Amino acid sequence: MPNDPQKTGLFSIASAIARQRQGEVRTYLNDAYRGRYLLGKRATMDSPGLAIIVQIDPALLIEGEELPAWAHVRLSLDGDTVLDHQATGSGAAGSILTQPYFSKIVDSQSQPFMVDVTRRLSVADIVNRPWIGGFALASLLVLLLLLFTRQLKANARKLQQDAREAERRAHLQEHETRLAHALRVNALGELASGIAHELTQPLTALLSQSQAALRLVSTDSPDPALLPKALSANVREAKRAGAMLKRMRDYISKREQKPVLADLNQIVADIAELVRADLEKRQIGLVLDLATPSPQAIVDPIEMEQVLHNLIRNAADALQEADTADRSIRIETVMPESGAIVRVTDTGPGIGAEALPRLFEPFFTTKIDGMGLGLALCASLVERIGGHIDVRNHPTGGATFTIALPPVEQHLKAAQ
Amino acid sequence: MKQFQIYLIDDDEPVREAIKLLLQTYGMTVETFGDPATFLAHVDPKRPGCILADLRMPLISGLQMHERLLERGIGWPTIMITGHGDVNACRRAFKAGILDFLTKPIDEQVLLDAIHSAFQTLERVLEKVETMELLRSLTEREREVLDMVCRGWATKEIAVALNVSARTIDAHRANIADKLGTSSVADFVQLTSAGAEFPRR
Ligand SMILES: Nc1ncnc2c1ncn2[C@@H]1O[C@H](COP(=O)(O)OP(=O)(O)O)[C@@H](O)[C@H]1O
Ligand SMILES: [Mg+2]
Repeated sequence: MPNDPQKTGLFSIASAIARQRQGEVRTYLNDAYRGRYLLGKRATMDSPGLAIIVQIDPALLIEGEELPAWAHVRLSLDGDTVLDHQATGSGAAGSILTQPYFSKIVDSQSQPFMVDVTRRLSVADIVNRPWIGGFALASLLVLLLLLFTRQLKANARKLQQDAREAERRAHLQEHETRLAHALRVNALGELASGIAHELTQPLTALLSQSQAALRLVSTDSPDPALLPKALSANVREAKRAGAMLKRMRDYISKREQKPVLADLNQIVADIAELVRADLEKRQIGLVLDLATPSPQAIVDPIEMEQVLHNLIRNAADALQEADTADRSIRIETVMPESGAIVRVTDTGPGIGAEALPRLFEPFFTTKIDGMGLGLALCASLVERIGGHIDVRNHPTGGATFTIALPPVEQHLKAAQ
Repeated sequence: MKQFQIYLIDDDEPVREAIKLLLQTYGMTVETFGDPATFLAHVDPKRPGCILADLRMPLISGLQMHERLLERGIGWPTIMITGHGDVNACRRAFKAGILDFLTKPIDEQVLLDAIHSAFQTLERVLEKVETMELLRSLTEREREVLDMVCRGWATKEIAVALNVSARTIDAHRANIADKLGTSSVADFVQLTSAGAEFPRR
């Protein structure tokens, strides 16, 4: 549909985004998207042709029962009105409630909105049918992606727990699961060359071993012990390659998020296998320090792997810049008195004081090709299962991220 | 062809065992090491062999290992194997004096050819080392006399140039022939040029 006005609008925005600085997020208004606004960002250096465009329906920002009928809300960008929500009644006028007038530029570089409201805006939620428009990208599918802020979700949680709210939360979760999946697919791309290398190892063993076996059978009096040894080694290697492929397939499989009772050590070991070759290539050490017996928690194993993967990627990025002799990442599992803990520590430069409080904000990044979504998603996924993620700088330099998960019994009780 | 020891260094155990088994079916002697540090700790300069090493290993890379061996005067032919067709690494490897560069999975015939050419190289290297040792056994005066002989000078001319008697020069020449195991001027020329060509001790 080349004459679809939305598509035309999209392309004009896409070409504007192409001129944006790497890492910059900008807000766009377009006639084809009346009543909506769009956030645009260029994707990573690795895929320079990819843009992320998030379509936001500001009406949903002020949706909710507690917006009184008398409220008149206006949202504007550079004087252009994005949203003008008229008061639907005048019931409160003249009541003892004085109407506080609120007018503020929303403190955000990417969305420099002016909000005028006759009453303080307290709820927020951005839900919509969002998508990423990909253009000029050779083979990657256009990713669909929803973005919503953690703060907004926290607010949503405070709302009355009525049926509508539950439905809305289910909706949010579904989008979040899709977002998590899209980001996993994206992240696996970074690991592709490492995984190819990992697969080369069993193939090398298989080839040489089979060639040796062929030579053994063609000799007159082969050592009877050698042939079975070579063949069972081949079976082992084929299984090793198969396990690698399975790990990879599971990681990017599109499936429902399903918390189950899981061994955290196994989850750590699985993600370690996926990232090992990539870290090796970047000359970064990976140390696992796992508690025995393995701490357990009710988690979705793949999403937990994703959380760890995000932390490992960030640590590796931090180490890339650092010029310390010891460049390594340590993953620990710990069994405290109650619950379970996974810790990821790096020997990088640590986190600056200005960045520290903003780390988990969506779109917060200090990287030129960063998306700023990694930690926001981590927090979201961990909190969804009743856990908590925390960061602090290590006394000897480097950052430590701690994931605290609730005890298994607590989860079982809540489910009852 | 003369066969030598093969030192195989790869951090992946199944890969190590598979290549070892294959080479053993060709009657070769293979010693395996799981990491460069262990090899560096165990390598015996008196047991020369050809080195087959993975390029990318944790902590010490194959190339770094090669450089450390050179620092210790061990210049045995080295074949790098790698899981990546990494052109840059390949270029660096050749610059560092790596004999050959093979990509995993390794074809049997390619591996054998590389090892055979490594054996030949090692044989030449060892001959040169021997020559160097012979030449080093000469005194400074003997070395001076040898150089003049190689340039085609007669005993008398050398005696005049060095301001000693012809009999003294004859005695030097006898000693030189004794130490190098030959009295032929043609052999002398070959030995000295071979020694000069081989820079390392
Ligand atoms: N291990 C770490 N060491 C130093 N800084 C970090 C670390 N992990 C995260 N950060 C900081 O947090 C920011 C946000 O991380 P994230 O949400 O994953 O987004 P992105 O990686 O795309 O920048 C990073 O840009 C970086 O400044
Ligand atoms: Mg990140």
